[in-house]
Order: sequence, then C-alpha cells, then structure tokens
Amino acid sequence: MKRVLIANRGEIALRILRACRELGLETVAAYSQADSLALHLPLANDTVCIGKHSYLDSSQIISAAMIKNCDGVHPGYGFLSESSDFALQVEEAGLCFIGPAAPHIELMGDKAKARAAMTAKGIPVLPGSDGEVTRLDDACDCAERIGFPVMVKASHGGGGRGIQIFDDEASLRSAFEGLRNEAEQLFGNGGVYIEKWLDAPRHIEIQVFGDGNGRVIHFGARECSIQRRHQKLLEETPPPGIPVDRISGAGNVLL
Amino acid sequence: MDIRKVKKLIEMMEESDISEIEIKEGEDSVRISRGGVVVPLSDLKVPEHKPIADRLETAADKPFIGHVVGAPMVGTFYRAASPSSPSFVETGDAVSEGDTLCIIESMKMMNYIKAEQTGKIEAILVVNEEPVEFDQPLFTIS
Repeated sequence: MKRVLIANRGEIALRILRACRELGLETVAAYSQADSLALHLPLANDTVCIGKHSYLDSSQIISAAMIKNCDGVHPGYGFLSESSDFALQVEEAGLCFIGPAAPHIELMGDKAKARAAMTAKGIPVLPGSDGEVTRLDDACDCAERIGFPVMVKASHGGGGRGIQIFDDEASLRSAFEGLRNEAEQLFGNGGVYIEKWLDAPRHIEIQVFGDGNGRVIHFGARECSIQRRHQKLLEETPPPGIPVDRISGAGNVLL
Repeated sequence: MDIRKVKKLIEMMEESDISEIEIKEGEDSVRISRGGVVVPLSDLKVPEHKPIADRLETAADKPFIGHVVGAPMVGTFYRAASPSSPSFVETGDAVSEGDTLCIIESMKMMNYIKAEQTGKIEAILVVNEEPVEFDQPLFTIS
C-alpha cells in the first residue's frame, strides 16, 4: 500500500495521518466543506473535498479515493467504519478497506449472531436465548429458564439504545411486541434476543486484533463501567482492581 | 544564522545570570533559554490550506467572471459524451437553463451536469478527463 485516503475528521484523522507518516505512506485527507479549514489538512500530501457536510456518503468517498489514486481507505471510527456495506463497496472498487473484513463486520454487528458464533467457538457468553426470539411465548420460556431479571436487546442495536430490562413475566409480556417495533424503527431490523441481567457488574472489554494473516493479539482490558443510559462515558485502562493474570487468561481464551 | 554567533550567545549566557535571550537579525531570529532547546522560529510555520476555488482563483491572473459552476460531486470530468463526440459546450457558447455542460463520471456512473441558469460560457476551467473534487470550479457563466 502506498497511499491512504483518510475518510474521517478531527483527532482520528490526525492520528491516522501520523501513523501513515510513521509507516512511510502517503496521505490524502478527505474533508467536507464545513471542515475546509481543518488543521490536519495542510499536513496531508493531498486533500479532496467530498461534499457539503457528510462523511457518510460512501460513493463520494470511494470516488475521491479513486481520483486521487489511493490504494487504501481508512474509515477511522464512527461514520462508515462499522458499515459492512461500505467495506464491501471499497473492496469491490479494487481498494483496500483498512479494517475488519465485511463479513466480520456484519457478523459482529448482529449481536444475536455474534453470540452464536462465540458459543460455537466455546467462548462463554451470558446465559440467554439461542439466537433471536420472535415469539412471545419463546421469550417467556427463555426468561424463565435463565431467571429474571432479563434484558431484551435489539440484535442490531447500538449506542445504548434498544435495551429493556424486565423483572417478571407480566412486564415482559406487555412490552415484547412494542420492543420489536421500536427496534425495527430505530435500527431497520426488529430482531431481538434475551440475556440475563446482571446487577451492578463490571463491564470490561478486551480488544482483539488480527492482521488477516493468522496473527492475532489482544490489547489488554479497558474498564467500560462508567456509563449513562447504557452508553459508555469514560473508559479507563487498566481496569482497577482486576488481577493481571485474569485479564491475560481471558485474552488468551479469546485468541 | 551563523552557528558561531549562536555558540557565542550560549557562552555569554552561561557566563552570566541571563535566563533567556532572543536575537532578531533581519528575517532570522533565535531564542535561547537556560535549560531549553534552541528553535529557529522561522521553521515553525504550518502551511495554510486553501479551498480549491481560492487556489485556482489565485493561480489565474484575474478573478472569475460571472457565476461559477462548481462540481456537484467527486469524479472525472468529461467534455463530451464519448471520445469521438463533440464537446457539449465551448467557450463563448450561449447556454440555457437545463443544457448539458459536461459529464462527471463517478464510480462508473455517468452524471450529466446541467446549467442552472441561462448565459454565456466565459471560461472552461478544467480539461477533459481531469479528476475533480466537490465544488471544484468547472465553468464560469455570465
């Protein structure tokens, strides 16, 4: 790879630019008109204006990468970075999408499928439903099996939304259909699944990274428990009070 | 700046109680702080990024006449429907609202760009097959 299109803005665009510099890669910074005075732009080898406001226009971004002779596109975070459609379009245009393969983005973006995939690999997951739950009776059976309180979560949810907690069967019965409709409206997909609700858990994440050639590492753990309305506010690393060997143990299981 | 002068300044500083000294000589200037690093101030300029319209207008000898038609998308600019066809417009042509001015090809799709107002083509600012970015000036219409 010789030249990378940076399809993002702000601090992540600058960070990508720095990394490319360190690796000896040329950079082309894409920017919207609203960002024409962004401070990282003069630091890139070249720039290209992609539109009025938006970093979500995949065809403009890919077109920009092509006219500037880039061979890779870095999506940064947010915007199109978790869009399997975008990743696929980039690859179909003959460019390298710098990120996970489109099928992996799609698999992990569907939380019910992701659970099933992890279970199939022998990785323990929270007690919950086997994939999506479509029928109310199945939902209640599952909840009774794993024990209340339970969470009903949208398979394609994100940003802390599409989650509701139920203490008993009666409340689950009255809200179940409404939740599916809400998921359909919010995320374009009404699929939901069920998980056991943990009261005051520690939400710890371990980031796993593979190079696509069989080499995998993990980056240790981050404390993600500081949340508001199910959205992380601040992440801290290393997580306080968790022994290092528990983290490396969990990391090795994932690898 | 002469390195011998800088060395002399450092020696002077070390022999005295001065903690910081700044000398300007024409365009050059140097500031030396005790315990700090010598940084030629002229090296700290970051180039300014100008939107493409400004860059082009500066490069041309005169300002644009009339209304500037900017590219509505990123892609490759074509003056004609095919290599053997005549160009849609030439400099000096009269155009009406809705007339095709050019094609911008984006991801293998040919987009016909139409005039938004009636007038005369004053200038064509890009060449055939040139890559264009969003809002890059293509034509001026008076």
